[in-house]
Amino acid sequence: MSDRANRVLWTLVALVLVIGGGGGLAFSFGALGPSAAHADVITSHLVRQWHRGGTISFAVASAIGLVLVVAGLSLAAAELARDTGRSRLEDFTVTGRSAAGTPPADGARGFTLVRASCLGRALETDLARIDGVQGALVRLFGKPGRLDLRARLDVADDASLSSLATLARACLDRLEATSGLRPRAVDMTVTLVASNRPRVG
Amino acid sequence: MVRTLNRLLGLALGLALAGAGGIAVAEVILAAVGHPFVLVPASRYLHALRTTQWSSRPATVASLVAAVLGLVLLAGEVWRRPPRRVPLTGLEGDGRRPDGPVSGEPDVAGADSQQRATSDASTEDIDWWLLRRSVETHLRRRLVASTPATRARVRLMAGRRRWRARVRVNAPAAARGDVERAARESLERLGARRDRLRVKVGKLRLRAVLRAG
Repeated sequence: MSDRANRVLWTLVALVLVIGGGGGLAFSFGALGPSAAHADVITSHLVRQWHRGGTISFAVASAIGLVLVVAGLSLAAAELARDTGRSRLEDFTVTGRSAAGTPPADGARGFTLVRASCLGRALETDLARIDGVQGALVRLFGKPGRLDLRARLDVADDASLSSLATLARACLDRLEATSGLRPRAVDMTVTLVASNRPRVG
Repeated sequence: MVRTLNRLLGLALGLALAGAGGIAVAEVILAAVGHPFVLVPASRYLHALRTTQWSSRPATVASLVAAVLGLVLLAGEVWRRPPRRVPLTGLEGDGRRPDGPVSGEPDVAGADSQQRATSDASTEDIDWWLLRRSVETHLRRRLVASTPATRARVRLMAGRRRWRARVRVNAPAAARGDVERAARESLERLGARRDRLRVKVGKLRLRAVLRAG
């Protein structure tokens, strides 16, 4: 789950606690009248309602329990999910056919299976070859037609960032030339690291 | 740190909700077929709640604890935290390229014309970001290496429009100008605009010295 979603979740939990606790204090100190302050936490009226409800009471309680189970498991799964729940690019095939399904004029046939992980690694290697880049991590999300790319680059703190931008773009051009994929959204995060390049004195 | 804590707490909350829901379902089903509560001493809890008044001490304390916990949690979540990443603007093809001249244009040495020709053919924008912590570490290293400061601590708050750096150094007061200049140069090299950059230099306090290592 994203940081923003977690903040919203915990803000809601905090509001529930504040409202619940504040309401409890209002009851306790008689702000809602002396009869409310001397009422039991679970009133006999509530108990009567439960008994009167019979099967429906049990059904409602079971439904609330089930909702809690589903909500709790969904929340736990979302917290454990990688990549904030986004689906990574899966392996895909490239065929010689056109979009209309007709084979190309030169008669090329067959298909090529492209491993998504290989594409990611190839781009990592390409990015890591840029002068000043000391490490690269690439994640490809979505589907071939709607590809999102997220990369993290460890860049020497004495490297030229403008040059880096230009060369990274060239890497994306090469990715497109090789695979035919052009990411629609590219998100690059640079981590500045101490340069390990030898200095020439 | 807070992000990891939020995530761990979210996981714990999810498992607790699922556990509580599962127990509730099991107990309700058992109660419906005439069995007493088996997993939790619910009879005792229900009896306690049916005989406890809102004005009693346990109810007041429980309400107070919930309210205080909620307020602390709310303050922690609403409090503005420094962003994990800061936008790296002014690069070629950057989708957030600011209007007007950028005084802190990142270093362009080394970008040859052939590479530019290649990139000009591309049209999509790349969102460039800098990991904030790495910028702080870089700045700290740079200040210690290039100014009389022997220790430094840097806190960076940066958004799309404005960068604010608070630098605390262990250096003579006379050297603060050098420290500020070096910090400005470094941040402008990373794309911070001169007119939208604020650098505040102060003395490193004992607690900060221990934290800066």
